[in-house]
Amino acid sequence: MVSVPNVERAAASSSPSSVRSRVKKRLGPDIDGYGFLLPATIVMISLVVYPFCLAIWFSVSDAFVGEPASYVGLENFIYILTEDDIFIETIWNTLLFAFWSVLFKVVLGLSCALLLQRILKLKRFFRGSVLLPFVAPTALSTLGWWLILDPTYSHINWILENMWPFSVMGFGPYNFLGEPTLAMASVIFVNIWRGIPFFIITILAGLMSIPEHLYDAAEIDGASTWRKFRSITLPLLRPVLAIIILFSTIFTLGEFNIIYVLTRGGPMNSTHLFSTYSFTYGILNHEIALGAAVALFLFPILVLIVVFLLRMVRRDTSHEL
Amino acid sequence: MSKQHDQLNKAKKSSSRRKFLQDTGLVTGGLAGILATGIAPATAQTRELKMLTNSHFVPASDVELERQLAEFGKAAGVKTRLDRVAHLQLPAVLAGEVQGQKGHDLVAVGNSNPHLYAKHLENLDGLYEKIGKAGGGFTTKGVGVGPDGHVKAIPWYFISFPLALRTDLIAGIGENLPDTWDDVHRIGSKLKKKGHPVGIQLAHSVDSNMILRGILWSYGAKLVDEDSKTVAVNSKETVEAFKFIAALYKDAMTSEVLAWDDRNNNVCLNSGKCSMILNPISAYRSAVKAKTVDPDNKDLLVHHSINHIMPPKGPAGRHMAASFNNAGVWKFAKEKELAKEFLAFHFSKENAEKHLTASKGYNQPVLAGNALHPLYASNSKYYFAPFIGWYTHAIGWPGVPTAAMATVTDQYLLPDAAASVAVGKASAEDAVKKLETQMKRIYKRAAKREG
Amino acid sequence: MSSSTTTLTGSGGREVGINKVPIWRRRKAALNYVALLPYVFFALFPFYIMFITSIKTDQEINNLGNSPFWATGIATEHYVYLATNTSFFQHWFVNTLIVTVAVTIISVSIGTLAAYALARLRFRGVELFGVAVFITYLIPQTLLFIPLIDVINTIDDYVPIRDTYWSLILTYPTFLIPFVTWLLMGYFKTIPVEVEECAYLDGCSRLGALFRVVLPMAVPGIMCAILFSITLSWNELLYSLVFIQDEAAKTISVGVITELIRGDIYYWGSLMAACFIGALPIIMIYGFFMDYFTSGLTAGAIK
Repeated sequence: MVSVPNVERAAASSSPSSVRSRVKKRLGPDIDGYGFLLPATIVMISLVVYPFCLAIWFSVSDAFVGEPASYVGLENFIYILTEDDIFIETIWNTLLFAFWSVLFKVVLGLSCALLLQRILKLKRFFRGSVLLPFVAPTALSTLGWWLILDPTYSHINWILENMWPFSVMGFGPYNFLGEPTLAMASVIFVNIWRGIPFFIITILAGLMSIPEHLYDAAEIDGASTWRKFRSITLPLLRPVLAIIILFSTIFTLGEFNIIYVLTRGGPMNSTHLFSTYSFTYGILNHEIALGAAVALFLFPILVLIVVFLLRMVRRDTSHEL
Repeated sequence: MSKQHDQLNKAKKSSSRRKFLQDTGLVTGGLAGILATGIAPATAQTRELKMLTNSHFVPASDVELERQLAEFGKAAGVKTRLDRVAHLQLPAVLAGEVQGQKGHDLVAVGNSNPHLYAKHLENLDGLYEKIGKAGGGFTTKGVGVGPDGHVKAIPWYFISFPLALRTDLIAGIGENLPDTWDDVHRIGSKLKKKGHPVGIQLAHSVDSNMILRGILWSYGAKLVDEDSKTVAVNSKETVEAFKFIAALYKDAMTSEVLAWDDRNNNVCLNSGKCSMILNPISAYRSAVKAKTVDPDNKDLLVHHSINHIMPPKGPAGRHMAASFNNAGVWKFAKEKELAKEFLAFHFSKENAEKHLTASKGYNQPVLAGNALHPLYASNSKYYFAPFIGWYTHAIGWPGVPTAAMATVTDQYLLPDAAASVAVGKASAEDAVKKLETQMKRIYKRAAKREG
Repeated sequence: MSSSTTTLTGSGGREVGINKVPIWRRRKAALNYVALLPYVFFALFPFYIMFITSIKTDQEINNLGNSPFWATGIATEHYVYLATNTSFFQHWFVNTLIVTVAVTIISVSIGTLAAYALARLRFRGVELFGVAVFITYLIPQTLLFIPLIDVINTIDDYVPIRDTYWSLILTYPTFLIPFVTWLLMGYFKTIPVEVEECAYLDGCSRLGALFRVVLPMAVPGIMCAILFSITLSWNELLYSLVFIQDEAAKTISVGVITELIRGDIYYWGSLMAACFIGALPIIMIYGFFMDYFTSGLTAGAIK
């Protein structure tokens, strides 16, 4: 991007005038960019920025659903940190949940995309079927998982108990949603199931835009598959990967549906995440100030990470092919 | 696309910012015009009474309610609409309406919600009197009443938790039906060995919140004092109750109960696995509907041997919690008077009875006049119903269901405390202490807010 | 990029049509399939359970003794219930379709313009906008909907949009536009600038270059964005729950949950049937778009 002679281009496509060039000096060479951003800006300001600012205001006020609020500073944050033992648990749960989910989604999604790219026959079937989890209505497919993990008639336990060879190995029955560690593993598992297609489809589209001639050249040089992956695929995939990892992390940190359906935060709060706990506070208890404080607890740290990563991505993508 | 296109071009060309703003104003105005046409034709002219309730367990109950609304609307010359959401989603919708001060006229507000929404609900004292007088008096006290002592919502019906059990299994080991919690423990332990455990949720579920309160109360323990403000959970009775729950869990239940939701105990009983659960009649009724069979005896339909009896009694007597549903009118409702009139219409003897019948007895009446409804005599499995109200309390008992109690309930503090004792994560004494700390923190906050 | 006109399927692409493939290569190719099987199984297993549950009778669903993986017969009762006792096909399905199509068109158009600006143009504030768009995602939807209600109510005072799908058409783009913007930005950046330069020399305007040159080359990315928009708006639950309670205006997710979860009773058969039927249109759309992914349309467009 940096290498493009933007100024020249802009100058060539529009007649020069002194006012314009002065404006350009101040706002940058491509002022029509504002026009491109305008529709998005209108939508975002009216429907996102306003609610967003309000949400931040909630977290530093004593807001209670339906009542006027006044400023209380960091009181809410202090309260949840010092007095609320469930919240402390929630922090660890959320970090644990997000870390393992995203890690598995990246690794499995990338490997599956690479495999899918290599196969030639039955492409439609394979590509189509691994994308399916993304397709079913989330609220309902999670109910499907609930049925599968159901403590009373878990399909998995049925396999373990009634199907050879598992039946003689003596595993299970497992209490997938009732034992704290297993419950956490189960919700992570379902999150991975639902999240992988997102990775596969974006990575696949990214893979497809990598020029073939790079691989050809590498082949001539006698590079191994691993070498090709490390020196061509991975670097060229980096911008796309970075963005989807970022998105996925944020989505995972905000996961609500799976917990809400499968465990409701239980057993003994071992799967309560920020989103479910803030829902409990904000919506069920009407303590919207506390709900906002819980939800925004990681906000400052996340903003820093996002700004840092996005700058990197923007710089990173200026490579020339 | 082309619209944005035009808009963009306009933006480019117009030299003055003001002109551009006018243009977009025009465009969006035009868009609004398009939006307006054909969506809600002429809502301004016709009045509409809108009611919001949770999807009822018995669909026919919703149908009857809708019919009554329509009948009322016809007589009053207004349109009516009954909207429903799933019961777990209702709080989110209600919170949305309160925050936006806009929505339905009449709403179903369960348990402690009249307290939570007190500032946004109309006072219905007069109507409460009137309905009570005509219906033989309310069997509940404090339910539907807000913190200021005014009636915020008319108690509508309650859903009780009798002991639903498999009579054949209990007879099979030569026992009588259990009367006390110790009986439940003894019989349950024997039946668990035969693969038929007791099923009481120790988990994040409504049932768990209700049943565990019942056990605590039966042991003489209580979460709060009668003033609904003083946390009184730290007592030796609570410790005893927790110890009993732990013993029951160890001897008569399986670890499944730690993961259960409200539906799971139904499934457990209906599938022929569980021997005893505490649940509204929905479990039995769905066993009838699905014609579930006993896994050991393929010819036996499970529902034939299910019966309901009174919840067990403890050292301090027989107590059980129930879920109370109330009907309230928003202060910000457009049709307040109409809504109140409909409530009077709906609670008339004839209509209340029709509603009860349509619910197949699931909606238990809070009006004494309807308590001995013939429906409950029509099936021996419903014999418990007219009398269970004697032992039934709302969640704040011996106080009233307050907003702070709602927080305690929605955060599942009691089930978690009981579960931690049951799995051996904490001693009964420690769990009670922890529960006390948590509750005190919530009650302190609530007291501060309410001033 | 421009040289990748022959195949887009990576290193495996050269194996087609050559008869004398070394045996180790063929084995390696077969290994790919074997390695993919667990993924396919993992992805499809719940769907199988959903399907099999939807064709079981209630009695069978509740029977713990039977194998849960097989139905003794095909019971259509749950599908019939869905069609006759609920507004599934009559309203919910139609509403969801309208919302999805409208939202996708709006989000992808707006997102494309914004993404192009962010990826290509240089002007003050572009970085800020990009980051700002992203940060809004950091507030969970479960909280954001409360203030959003105020916005929708304000609009509703002038134009009745609550309890109609217009409220969803207005609100869904809020969580889609940022996403589409960033996704497309990533793809736009992989397109060489030189192609655009040529277009400018040919006398194209900025928009002309975007539509005639950049977009055709970004087809996989745009397909990605379209698929995401479709999927996310098809499956959205929270906003439609809060903004719509009118039976006739509900979307699939909310309608199904309202109608088929009755307190502590779950109509499993019909729920799973609804999930299955609800996913079908998207599956078909994916099947249709999958061609763009597999046939290498990008390459054709560049030629």
